[in-house]
Amino acid sequence: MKSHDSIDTYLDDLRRRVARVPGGDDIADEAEDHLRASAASLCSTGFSQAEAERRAVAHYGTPANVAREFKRSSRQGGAVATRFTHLGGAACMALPVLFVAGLAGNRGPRGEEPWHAIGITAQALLYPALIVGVLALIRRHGGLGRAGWVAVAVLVISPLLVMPFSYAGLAIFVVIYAVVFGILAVLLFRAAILPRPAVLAFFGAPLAYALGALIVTLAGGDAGHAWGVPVAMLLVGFAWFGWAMWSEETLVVSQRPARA
Amino acid sequence: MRRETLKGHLDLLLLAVVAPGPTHGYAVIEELRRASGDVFDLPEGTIYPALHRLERAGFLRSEWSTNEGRRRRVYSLTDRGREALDAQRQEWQAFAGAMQLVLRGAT
Repeated sequence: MKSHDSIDTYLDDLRRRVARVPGGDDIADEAEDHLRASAASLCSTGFSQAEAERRAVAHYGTPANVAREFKRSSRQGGAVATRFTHLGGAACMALPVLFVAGLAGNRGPRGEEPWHAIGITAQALLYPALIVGVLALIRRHGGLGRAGWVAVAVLVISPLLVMPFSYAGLAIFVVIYAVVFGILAVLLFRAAILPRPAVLAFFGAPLAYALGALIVTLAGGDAGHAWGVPVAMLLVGFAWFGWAMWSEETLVVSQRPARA
Repeated sequence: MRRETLKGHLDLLLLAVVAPGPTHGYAVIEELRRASGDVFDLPEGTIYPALHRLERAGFLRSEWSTNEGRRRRVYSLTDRGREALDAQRQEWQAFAGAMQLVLRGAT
């Protein structure tokens, strides 16, 4: 690892590393002001200029670490955890439970209470929980740009879009969801705020469906039955995102974060 | 104190340190260290990304000035930042008070 014994050599290295980060010159100027103020303070306590600079630089952190933090931060925009994202985390974690309860209620013995009622209730809650969860995901990222909002808008109106198509609507529904979660996965991956394995589950779900449908079709079956693995991947992704958002410290009560 | 524990509360701590009035990054970090009795002592360069993020989120604003021939960035709290600080401070005090009560009973 390269050592930095003076502020000048440290700043040369830092300027090079943050050159492509937005506001790179300001970052380096701010670091210079900090390091020179820190060194002056140490000199006033009896350290030589050389030793003061060495200590100031050492306490600032390596240029690589500082640049990495700024790169990560620059991708986050004005993203902060709020109570809404906290609530959205709970909604995301509830999705797998609601889905399984809805499925069990739907497939269980007809008319057998209270399990059937629980299943129907779970199915009814699934869609609002999905919308709250996705909105919270976007809010947690300080917005995901126009593409993110288009994806969410399509997600919200998708039941209306497919309603006229009866059974064929199911296939359209799957295609819409694959596109929506594919777009969200790319945007979430680039933002790198929440755990990337969860993003990969989002990204892998549409691919898993395409692959599964192909295999089932080649085997002479109904491609519509290939939904199990991709849905499970999506639910794992949501649960993972949900835990990440649920366990964060929240900062703001109600207001919407400013756009970066 | 574990570094990750401190990082979870960094936003609140930074807002609290900037709250008394406009101040620059070095002074923010020195005050954070002094006010905590040297307990809160993160690598200094990693504090600045958090300050920038809080500015982008609308909780802080910054202006550049000149000091001893160098450019200096000075941060101050916005109305929104003060509102967030007040809300979070109340929540934290309620939490800390409850923790004290429980831990005191456990001795």
